Amino acid sequence: MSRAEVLEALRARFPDMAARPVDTASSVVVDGMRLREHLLHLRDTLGFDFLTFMTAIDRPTESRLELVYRLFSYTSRVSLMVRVLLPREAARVDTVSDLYRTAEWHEREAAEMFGIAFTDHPDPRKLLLPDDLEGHPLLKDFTHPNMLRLPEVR
Amino acid sequence: MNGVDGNSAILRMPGGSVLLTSLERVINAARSNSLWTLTFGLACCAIEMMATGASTYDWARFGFEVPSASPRRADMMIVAGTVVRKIVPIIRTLYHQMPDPKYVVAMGGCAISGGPYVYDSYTIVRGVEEIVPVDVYIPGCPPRPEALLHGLMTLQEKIRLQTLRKPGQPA
Amino acid sequence: MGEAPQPTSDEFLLNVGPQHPATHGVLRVEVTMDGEVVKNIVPHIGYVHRGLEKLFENRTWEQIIPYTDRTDYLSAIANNFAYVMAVERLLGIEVPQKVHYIRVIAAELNRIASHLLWLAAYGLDMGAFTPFLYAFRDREEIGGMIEEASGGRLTTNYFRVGGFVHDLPPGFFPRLETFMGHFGGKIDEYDTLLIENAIFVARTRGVGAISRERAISYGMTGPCLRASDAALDVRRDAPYSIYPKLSFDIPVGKNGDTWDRSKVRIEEMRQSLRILRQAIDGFPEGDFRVKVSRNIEPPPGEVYAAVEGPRGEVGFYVVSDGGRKPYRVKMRKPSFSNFSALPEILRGMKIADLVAVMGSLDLVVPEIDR
Repeated sequence: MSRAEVLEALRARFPDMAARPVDTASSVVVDGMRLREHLLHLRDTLGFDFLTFMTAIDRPTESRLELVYRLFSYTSRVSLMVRVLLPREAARVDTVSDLYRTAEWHEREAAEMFGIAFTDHPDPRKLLLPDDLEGHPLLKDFTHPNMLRLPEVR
Repeated sequence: MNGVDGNSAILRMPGGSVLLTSLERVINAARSNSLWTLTFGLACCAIEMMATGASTYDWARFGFEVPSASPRRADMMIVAGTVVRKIVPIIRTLYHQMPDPKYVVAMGGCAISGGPYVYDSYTIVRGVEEIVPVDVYIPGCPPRPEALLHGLMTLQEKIRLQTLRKPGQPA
Repeated sequence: MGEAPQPTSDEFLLNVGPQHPATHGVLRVEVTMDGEVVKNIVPHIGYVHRGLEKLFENRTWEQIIPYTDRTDYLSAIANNFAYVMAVERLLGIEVPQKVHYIRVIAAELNRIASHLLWLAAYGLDMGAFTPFLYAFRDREEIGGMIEEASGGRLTTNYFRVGGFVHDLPPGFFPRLETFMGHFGGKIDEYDTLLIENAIFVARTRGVGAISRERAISYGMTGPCLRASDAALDVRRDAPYSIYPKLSFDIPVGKNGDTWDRSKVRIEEMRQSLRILRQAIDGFPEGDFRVKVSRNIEPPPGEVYAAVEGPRGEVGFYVVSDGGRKPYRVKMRKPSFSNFSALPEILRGMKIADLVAVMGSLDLVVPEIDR
C-alpha cells in the first residue's frame, strides 16, 4: 500500500486520529481491551510490521498511565503512535510480544518501571533492575534511599 | 605474605638489611614492570583503556603486555566505568579470585565516586572503593590515555616503594 | 556387530559473562548446551543500568546533553544529534545550514570511528590482533579532529540546542582533507585483511542468519537489519538535516548472516566517505548557531526524533510539560532490540559461533541498559 492509501485507511479506522505537526507520526488513542485487535489489523492489513519502541508515561495528575507504542511500516514508511490509557493502580493490558517480538523486552521493562501487568507475557522477569529493588522507578512518586537528589539549579 | 620482621634471620646477619633492601628492589622492579591487567571495562572508560593498549599509546612498553581476562593470573584490576549495585557481587568475586599481591586502579569519575551519576540514580555505587580497596585514582570522564598511563606509572612507583618488612603498605 | 551406540549427553549450563572479554561490556548470557550445540540462550542485562530515564527528569534540558554521549559512547555524536533535534523540534526552531553541514560531517566521522572500533574488537574476538592496532591508529586521527572541534575524544558533548558553542577550528578542514586522502585506501586494506580473509569468511559465512521478517519483528535496525536484505535507513526513510540533498547508497546484504553484517559495515564506511566529500564540497558560509534562550523551556508537547546511528536507529522521545526539565525522556536504542534477537539467531548453532554472532551485532551494553 502506498503512503497515501495507508493514511486514508488509518483515518477511516480511527476518526479521532490526531496529526502532530512537530513529529512525523500521527497519534491515535485506543482502548486497552481492544489493543491486540487493533495492532493485529495494523500489522497484517496496513503493513505496520515494525515496533520502534514501546514505553509508558506516568501522569499522576490525571491518575493514569499512558502506554505509547510507536509503529512503523516497512512498505509504506508511515509512522504511527498508538496510545493506551490505563489506571495507575493495577494497570493491566494484553501482551503483544507474539505480534512484535521486540515487545517482549519492552514490556518487561515497562512492567518493572511502571508496575504494568502484561497478560500472557512469556517471560515476566525483571529485565534491568536488580531483584531486590522495590518499587517502580519511573513512577513520579518513586523514592529510594540510594537516590540523592541533585540540588536545585538557580 | 607474612613479611619480614625484626627477628628474622636475614636481618640478624651483618649487612642483612642491605641485602633485604636489594632484594626488595629486585622484587619490586620485577612486579612493577610486568603488571598483568584484569580487563574490567564497564562503560566508556573501557574504550580509552583499549586505546591505551592500542597502537598510538601502547601500554605494552611499560610492561602491561598481557591483558588477562581471567582474574587468576592478573596482578591488577582496572575498574573502568560505572559501578552499579547489580555488578557488586561480581566485582567482589573477581577481587577475591585475584592472587596477592594485587592492586586496584579506579579509572574515571564513575569508579572514583560515581561520576555524573552521583545524584538521582537509584542503582549507582558511589565509587568502587566502597567495594574493594583502591590503590590509584585516575580522574577524568573519560581520562585521556595519557592520564591512564600516568596513573599506571604512579602505580608502578607505588609498587617500587613497597617493602617486604610491611607488605601491602606504602613505605 | 551392530552400529556403535551413539553417545548421549546431558544438557549443561554455561555462564558467559558479565566479565568476559568477548561480551563487549557487562552482558551475561546463560547458554544451555547439548554437547557443542546451543539449545537455549537466556540473556541477562542490567549490570550497568544507571537509571538514566529517571535521572533525566531532574536535569534541565541542556544538562542532559553530556549524558546522552555516555549511553552509547561510540556513537556519541549520533546521540547528541537525536536529542538536540528532538528539543529543537519541540521549540520549533530551525538551525542555519552551516550547522547542518557541521553536524553531518561530525556524524559521518563518528560512524567511521564506530565501525573502526567494531572492526578492531571483532577482529580481537575472532583471534586477529592486527586489525585492532590498525583500526585504532585511524580512530586516533578521527578522534583528534573531533577533539579539536568539540573538546572530547570519545564523549564529545558537542552539539547544543540551536547549533554549537564555537565554530569549527581553523585547522579542521586541512586535517579532514588529509584524512580523506588516505582513508579510502585503508578501507580496502581492512576489507582484504579481515573481511575477505579466508578464515574469517569460513567462520562467518552462513553463521547466525536471520530472515528479514524476523529481523523486523525483533525491531532490529542498522547494519544488522540491512544485512537481511532490508533497505531501511533513517537517513532515507525519515530524512533529517541535509541528508535529502546528499546522494549515497544504502549497502544491503543478501543472507542476513554474520558475514553480511560485517560486509555492510565496511561498505557503510565507504558511503560515509562519499557523504563527507559532498558535505565538504558544499560547505556553506553562515552562523554556527541560532540564538536560543539561556534557559530552555519548550512548550508542552512531545516529539520523537531519530537519527541513523552506527548501530541503528537512535531515537529520543521527549515529553515536555513546559518546564525547565523534561517530563519524560525515553531513549530508543538500537542495541536493545538487536540484542533481543540473539536467542533466536543462536538456537541450534555451535557454541563457538556465540562469539562470532555477538560481535557482529555490534552491541554497546550501556545503551541496552541505560
